[in-house]
Order: sequence, then structure tokens, then C-alpha cells
Amino acid sequence: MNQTQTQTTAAERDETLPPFGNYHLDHAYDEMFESASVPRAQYAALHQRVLDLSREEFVRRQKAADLSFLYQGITFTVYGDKAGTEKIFPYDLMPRIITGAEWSHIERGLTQRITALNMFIHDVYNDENILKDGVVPRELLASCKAWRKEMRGLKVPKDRYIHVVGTDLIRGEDGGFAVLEDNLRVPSGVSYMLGNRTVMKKILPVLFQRYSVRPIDDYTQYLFQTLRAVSPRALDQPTIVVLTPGVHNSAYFEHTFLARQMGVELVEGRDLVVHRDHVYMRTTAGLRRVDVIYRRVDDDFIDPEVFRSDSMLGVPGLFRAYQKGNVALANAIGTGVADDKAVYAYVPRIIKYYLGEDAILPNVETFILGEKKDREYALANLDKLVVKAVGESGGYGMLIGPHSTAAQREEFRAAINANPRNYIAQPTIMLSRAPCFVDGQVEPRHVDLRPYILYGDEVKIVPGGLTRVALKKGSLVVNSSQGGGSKDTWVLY
Amino acid sequence: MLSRVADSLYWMGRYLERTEGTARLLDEHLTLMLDIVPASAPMRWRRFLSSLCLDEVDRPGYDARDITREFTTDEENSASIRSCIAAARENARQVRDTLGAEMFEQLNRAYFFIREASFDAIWDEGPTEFLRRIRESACLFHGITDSTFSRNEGYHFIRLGCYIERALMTVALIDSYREFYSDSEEAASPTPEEHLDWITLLKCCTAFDSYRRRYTAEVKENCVLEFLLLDPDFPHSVRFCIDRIAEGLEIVGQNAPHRDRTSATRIAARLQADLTYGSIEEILAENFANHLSTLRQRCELIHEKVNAIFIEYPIERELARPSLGESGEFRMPSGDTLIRPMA
Repeated sequence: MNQTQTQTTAAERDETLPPFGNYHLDHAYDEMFESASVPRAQYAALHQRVLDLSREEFVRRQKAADLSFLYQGITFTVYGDKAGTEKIFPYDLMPRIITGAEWSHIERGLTQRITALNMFIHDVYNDENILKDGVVPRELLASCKAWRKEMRGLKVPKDRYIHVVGTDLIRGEDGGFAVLEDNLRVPSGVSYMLGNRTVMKKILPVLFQRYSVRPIDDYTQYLFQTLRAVSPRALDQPTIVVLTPGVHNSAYFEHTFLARQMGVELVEGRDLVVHRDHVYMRTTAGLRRVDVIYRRVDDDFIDPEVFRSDSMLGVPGLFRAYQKGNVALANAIGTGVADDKAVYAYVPRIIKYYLGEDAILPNVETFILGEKKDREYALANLDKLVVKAVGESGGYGMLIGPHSTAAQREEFRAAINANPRNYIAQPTIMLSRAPCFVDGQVEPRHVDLRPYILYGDEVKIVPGGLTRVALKKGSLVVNSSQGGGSKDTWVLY
Repeated sequence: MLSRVADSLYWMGRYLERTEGTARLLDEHLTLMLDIVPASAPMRWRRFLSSLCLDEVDRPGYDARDITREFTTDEENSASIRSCIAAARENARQVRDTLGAEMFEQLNRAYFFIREASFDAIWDEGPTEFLRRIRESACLFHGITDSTFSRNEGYHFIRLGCYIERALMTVALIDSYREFYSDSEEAASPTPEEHLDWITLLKCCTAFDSYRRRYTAEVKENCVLEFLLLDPDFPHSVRFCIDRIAEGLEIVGQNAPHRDRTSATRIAARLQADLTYGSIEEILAENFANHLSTLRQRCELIHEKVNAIFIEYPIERELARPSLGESGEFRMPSGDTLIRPMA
């Protein structure tokens, strides 16, 4: 259960080194230190606490935290690893702290962005104004894998498409927050956000109390209200379910967690049956009508009659029931059209188009390799850029230029030339660094932030999110499938 | 409650009961071996295997260490404690949204405990300590369930699983002693070694203390059998289990809208009546082996009925219920549009 990926051996480590003895600043924005050994105001108490606790005490608490996750079964399954391998999501004891002012900026920015993206999805499946006005090129959507022609003209409750969103934010060298990725399909990780907080309060209660941290515990209640808001039947207690691909899915823990926290049933495709365009679940008391499905199954797998016919996870006939308005799906089908990595480049223009406002949270500079000029620049600068396949997520299908070998670059060059529309490139973004407890020492590691946004009757964001950490020294990849971990994230008042 | 969830809870209950029962059987048999002449050990180990319904093949040797390994940490053996706990946990994992967090955590701890356990260490320390912890893990789970879990349908499906498994285990255990039963009315007093065997039988069901309070320290065959089959108050007696099963079926059946729910309650209630009003003299006067095998079949029939009524009922029957339609416009399906869930 070794959490850390460092190569340091005991012999190399100096036991007498002070806790921050290995902490060196570089050009990345440092979350904790303003300058060498001067912590930012919001980190001062944490800094002091680390100096007060002995190394042994920290190690002991880290172990207690790890065991707590293991016993609670807060684990994920690694694809491609030995079948059924459960791992805990590495957890770093040191919280990431965000000030109230920073947070209100993020909150405004995300609210603006989600509102605009929801309008965009509604528009491209209905009136197509933004395409007619030439703000987003029509061929860009036509070539988008996540585009679902079946959604054209389909009415969804309250015109809401993206009920649950997990937007990835990063902090550039100047300390400003920027959006790296919009996750509008089935974003995961919120259970770790909530689990981290629970464990934190048990493991470092004194420290926690010293800060005024804004609570996040009401997330599942808001999630429930968001889902209820889109029920096709106006009932006080509509039947809401969470649809999971099953126990072998890497996020299965999260599905069970959310169902339990909301007090609703967790169903698999085989528990549901569609009859005369209504959805029912198989209960011990017979069939019961289902109103809202929080589905954690991708579009492709949700209904074998309409999408992938080989899907064993879906529910035959579900889409017909959805079309007739007899069941609501969260998120809607086809929302991936707006978090496509190529569409991403247009989001600031999308915000301007629908809301007449400038984006509060900027994008990261992006080259669209389907466009000749951008492609030529990118191919000439592969060693400096991050290249991403637009259809992939989870850190797969990525080239990190400065860390790549010549062979890897040639492989990507060939792939880009074969299918340029499939790629975008971005400058290597220096993610900010936060202190992490690694092998008895505090060391800086790169982090990002994924806040969770709910959009039912209104946009609702619990303060904080999941701070993901690249635990490998120097690594910029924070995904759990690629050796990433996470931290509790504290938003102060 | 979802049918699939009810099914998993039921099996979780069965596997937990199996875990506890196996740990107790093994512990008592290891203790028994300390007292008897080595030559008679194979017969006792055969009986142990038979009480777990695993007596098909005769073995070349019966080594206590090998058998203990086989039934504790052996992953390959589907009847080992490790396999039973893994199966209980796997069922729990499939429905963990339904369970309380503490319940799952307890089961998860037991799973990691046995997964990390080294057999050599268990054997060197004496397996009793290990087996005690296993039994405690199961007891702790039931304790947490009793004090934290709402008495809803899910609770009753867990209990149904436990009691069906327990009834079957008690019947199999009694059956494994078949060579011991006297044919004549007047049994000879048992030899000291036989006496130990009877005590072991009682201890395998945690019945020794309760037996003595009920019948005094005199261990008699008909009293033992009466106690294990017919006692209304002792939690491992077959009657006690069937009483709880009948109650449980009555409760979970309340929601079932269809007529066939009575078929399960009827079987349980008839069995309950036989055990309530039967006498041990009558039972022993008949063919006892047949009696036990009928008991087992009736328990298995209850299991099948539970499955057929609550879990794997035909969708068509359900769709034929008029209440499913929108505002009463529902008509019998013509048969062409029936959509079935994936198998």
C-alpha cells in the first residue's frame, strides 16, 4: 500500500532534515509559499502545524488515513491491471487551501461558463443559431464523435442538459485560474472530495478547527434536488435512480456512495425494463416506474437499440422513453459535443455569443490541429507542446512534449497527419504546486482542481472540489489511472 | 427494493452464516481430535466434511493441518472461510448503497483480515485464536446490523439468507452423525469417546450450554436430537430457524402483489407446523435418514420459492397487471412489444 511514487531510498534521505528542507521553489506558482520559507497568509497555520508535528506522527496519521479508506472500501479499479485490482486513491494529508476571494471568482466564472455551455448544447440540437452566425464552424460539430443526431429537436425538461459537471481548473505561473477541460458527460471524483473531508476531520481535527472551512456535506442533497427538478412527472417524491455499469466499473464505489447518500436505488441496466415507452425497475414488489435516471453509463452504452448494439450495460428502449419525455436522463445524451477538446477552443466565443460577456475564467491557449496554420506551428514545436487526442480522457492518448522521446514525437506526428481533426495542442502548462507529504518529508507536487457544478433550477457549486495531485516528482499528470492522488480542498470564508 | 439487491442481501446472509458455521465446526473438530485415539480421527474428519456436504470423495489421508488450511485460507476451495467471506463481501459490494457504511466496513475488515493472514502463522499460534476472530467478525456484523439497520425488506432478506443457511447446516450436521444413531429404542450408554462426539455435535451449534440448562448434563441421543430439531427457543434449532423464516416471509410478502407469494409462506408454515407439533419419538420411530432428507428438501424448496417470487419472476406476469398503465389505459400486451432486460 505504498502511496508514493518517489524513487528516494532511505539511505538518500536525510533524517535530520527539517520538514521543508527539501522544498525548493521553481517558476511554477506555489500554493503555500510566497517566497522561500515565507508562507502565504492562509497557509501560515498549516505551515506551523507541520513544524510542530513530528515526522513519526505524520507517518502514523498518513497510515491511519490510508487504512480508513481501505476499510471503508473507498477504492477504484485500475483498467488493464490484474482483474479486480482494488486500489485506494492515494490521499495526501496536507490540505489545499483556497481563500474566500479566490473562490468567489471561481464560482462566478464557472456559473457563467456552465450557463453558456448549456445554451450552446440546446442551440446546436435545436435552432443552430451559433452555427448559422458562423461563430462555431458547422464542420467542427459534424466531425465531433460525441455529436448525437438523435438529439436534434428533442425536448429535455427545463432545457437542462448538463446537470452535473466537473470542470478541471489549473493555476498558471501568475497564480490565475484557467479552465483546462470541461467535463460535461459523466464526471467522476465527487465521492473522493466528500470522503477526503470526512477522513481529514478524523485525522487532523486540531488543524481543521483552527481554520474556518466552508462545509461541503450538502452536495448530495443538492444533487438530489437537481435531479428532482428535472422529473417529467411533477411529484414530490419522483423515483430517482443512479444507473451504474456495475461492480467492475472503476468508479463503482462512487455510484454506490451517491445512491446511498441520496437515499435512492442504485440500478444496473438489467434491473430496468422499458414497456410502452415507460421505464420500470424490477423490485421485490413488482415493477415500479422510474422518473429520473442519474446515469453513470456513457451515451454509447445506454441503449443498444439506438447506440452500440453490443452494449450489455444499457437498457433496450430507454431512448424511446426519453424521446417521449417519460423519463429524464442526467446528464442528457449528446452533451459531449460541448466538452470536445476542439470545441473547447471556442468556449470564450460561445460565452460572448450567448451572454454578451467576456469569460471570467480564461481558457488555456489551444491550437486546433484541424486548422492548417495551427497544425504547422504545432508540428514544428512538438517538443514544447502537449498534444491531446480529442476523443480521449483520463490522461490517455497524450503527448507531453518536453518529457517525450523522439520516437514518441514521431508516432504522434504520423497520427496527427493521418487524422488532424482528432488532435489539439496546448503549450506545456505549468500547473501550480502544493506541499505534499512524501516519505516523511514535505515536497512540492503539481495539482489541479476539479469543482463540481450542479445545474437544476439554478447553478449550485459546493465550495471546493477535488484537488488532484501528480504524486510522481515533476509529473504533470494528475489522473488517478496514471499515478495521481488527491487532497482535501478547503475554501475559507 | 430491487430484486437484484434482495438477491445479493440474501446471499450475503447465507455466506456469512456459512462462514461462522464453518469456523465453529472446524474449531470444534480440531479440539475433538486432541482427545480421541488417532486411529479414529479419519472417521471424525469424514463427518466434518459430510456436515459441510462435502463427503463425495474418500481421501487418502486426513491431516489436521491440511484440512485446516483447506478450510481457512485456501483460495481455491470454494468452501473455505476465505472464499465464504469473499463471496459475502462481493455480494455486499454489489449492494453497498443499501447497507449502512458501518456494516460494509465491518465485512470489509474481515475480508482484509483473512486476505492478509498467513496460514503458517495461524497454525503456529494455534488456529483457535484465528477461528475465534472469524466468528467474532460475523457476530460483529450481525450486531451492527441489529443496532443500526432499519427493519426494512433488506433486513429481512439478510435474515432469510442466514436462517435458511443455518437450518440447512444444522440438518446436515445432524445427518453427518447418522452412523451414531442407535436403531433400538433403548440405547446403550455412550462410551467416554462417544460422549465427546455428542458434546462436539452440540458445540458445533453452540448448543452445549443451552442443552444442559434444558436437559441437565446428561447427554442422551433423543434429547440432543429433540433439542437440535424441535426446540422453540434455541437459535440454532431447525424449528427456531423455520419460525424466523416463516415470519420473514410473511413480512417481505406483504409488498408482493401477486398470489404466488402464498406458495412460499404455505411451505414454510406447514414445515413450521410439523416442527411445532411433531415429537422426537415419532420422528425417531420413522426412517430418520428419510426424515432429515425431507427436511432438507423442504428448506431448499423455500429457497427456490423466494427466488421465483421476489427475484426472478417473469416480466410478462408483471406487465399484465393493469395498475402499471398510465391512467388505466393499459391493455394486455399483444406480445410483440415486450422488452426484456438483458440476461
